[in-house]
Amino acid sequence: MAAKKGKNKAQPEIPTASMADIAFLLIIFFLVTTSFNQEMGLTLTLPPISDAEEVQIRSKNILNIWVNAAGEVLLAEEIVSLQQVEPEVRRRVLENPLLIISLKTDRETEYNMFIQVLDQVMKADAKKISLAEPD
Amino acid sequence: MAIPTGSMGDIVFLLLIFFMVTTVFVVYRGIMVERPRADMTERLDQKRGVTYMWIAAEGRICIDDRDIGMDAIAALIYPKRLAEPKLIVSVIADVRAPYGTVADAMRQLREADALLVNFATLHAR
Repeated sequence: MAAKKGKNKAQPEIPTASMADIAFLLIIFFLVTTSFNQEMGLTLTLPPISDAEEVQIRSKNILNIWVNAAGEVLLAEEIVSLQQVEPEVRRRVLENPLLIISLKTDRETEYNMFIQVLDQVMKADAKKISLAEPD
Repeated sequence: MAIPTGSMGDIVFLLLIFFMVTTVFVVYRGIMVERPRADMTERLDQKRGVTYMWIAAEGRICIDDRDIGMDAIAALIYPKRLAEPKLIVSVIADVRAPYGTVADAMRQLREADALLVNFATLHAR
């Protein structure tokens, strides 16, 4: 038998050429089936329950915004459109930095409408937002 | 000049490990909620100490993957609040949910002294 040059014992080698293919397949799988866990939203602080009994606040320091079941917005007793809420609130907050925005929404109003109004109020840089209990 | 491709496998595995570590499987357990969109949406940075309260369009409420009745919310949340003073309750409510349900849930949260609330929204298109 001719003497084998090199290795005397055959070393079985696992072919690694397809490793990259497998890795790509797995990466595509995870890319498609998972999502970055990111919670986003609007943050508010609710008033403590003991303050539920009306605290004495001068009425000129409160801006009442009411939203009815049809999604119509009443700002200080005037009907306004959704887009008008932000400039109105911004104007009033600049006039009175102590202004508290009291947002009362009807029980039957769609949650989306409530968020849109809240979004408008927050866009107007109002820091003191209070959610009033619906009737 | 041929670009050496020997390290391609290494790079792919690195990317794979990255995605495996930073992402989670999205598993919907019974409640499909369409979040409303808002311009002032901000990322909720607090990772620990967040409880998720799901409110479906028909008014069904889920906390910790279990259905819960409206009156039981305060009792469920209060121990969490005691354990975590900076507890944030993330209210994930459907666009079509009636506000009355959300208002009642918030009243329950106030009774449990969980005053930090986050309304889950997506960025406006």
